[in-house]
Amino acid sequence: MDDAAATRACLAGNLDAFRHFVEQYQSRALAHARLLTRHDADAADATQEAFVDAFRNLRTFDPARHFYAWFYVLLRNRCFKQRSRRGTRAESDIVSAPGIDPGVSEEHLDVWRAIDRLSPDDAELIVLKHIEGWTYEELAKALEIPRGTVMSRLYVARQRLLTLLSGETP
Amino acid sequence: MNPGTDCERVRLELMAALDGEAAPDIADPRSDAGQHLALCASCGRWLKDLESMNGRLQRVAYPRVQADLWARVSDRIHESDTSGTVTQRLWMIGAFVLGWRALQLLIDLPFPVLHPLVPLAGAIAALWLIATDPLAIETLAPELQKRGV
Repeated sequence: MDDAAATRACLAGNLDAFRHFVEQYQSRALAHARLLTRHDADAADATQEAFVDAFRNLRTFDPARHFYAWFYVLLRNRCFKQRSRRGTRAESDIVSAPGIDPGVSEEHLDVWRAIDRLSPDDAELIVLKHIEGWTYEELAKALEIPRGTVMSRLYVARQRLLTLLSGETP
Repeated sequence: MNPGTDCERVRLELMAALDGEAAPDIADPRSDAGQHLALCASCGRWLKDLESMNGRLQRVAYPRVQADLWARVSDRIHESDTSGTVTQRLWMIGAFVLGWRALQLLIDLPFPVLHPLVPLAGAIAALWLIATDPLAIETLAPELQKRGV
């Protein structure tokens, strides 16, 4: 089943068809939510609620667009809510580094560790640009910033990642 | 010429070219970026490092998900759907009882001895409706538990 067929089935009242979206996008959604919240439980909660939001708002999704680009805006909002809630809780409740799956290969692990050491904003840009392959225009739209700002922020984020991957302290 | 500013400007151009967002001919020594690269070893190294990092990042896969997110998501969707139905029914019972009371006050209805039975019959009908819908009960149960009932 592709995204367009799953969307049609969901809109016709078939809740099971939404499983396609969850199974297709949960890995990347959780990875992104972990980078934005820096907390495993918050990331899982934000991802779950973002999928619920997506189901409720599926009528507003244009199947001509890529589902994840549309979904990412919902996920980002949920992550920010989790982050602000977390900010009001006790300091001892905060977990700074999200866990990385032990099934990731050593080479990927090094890269994820370096990305994990970036700020949430830098990490978000790097992942969306390099791993998702979004264009500057798509980044500008999702992050609600001008294209020029995308370029300058991406430049700085890449500089920091280059430094981290070369083993230096940024 | 300010070398620092020039390096940054050229690197931004090179970055956009590598991202497929701009098309300066890096290999062309007559181009601005090409001329700069021929003279600036630092930018040459930077470009090689960036290309190497891009290659590594392109091969990176997302960590596997071990949790069953679908079960959680479908439960939440189901929960929010049915809780809406129960709330609607409770509102209907309330509106029915209030409507009946208003009718009693406004109009002199016949068979006054039967009047107290009408809201009772309405409440029993509503409870029967909820009881025949197991989803509604599932939704109500955690709510009641939260309130310590």
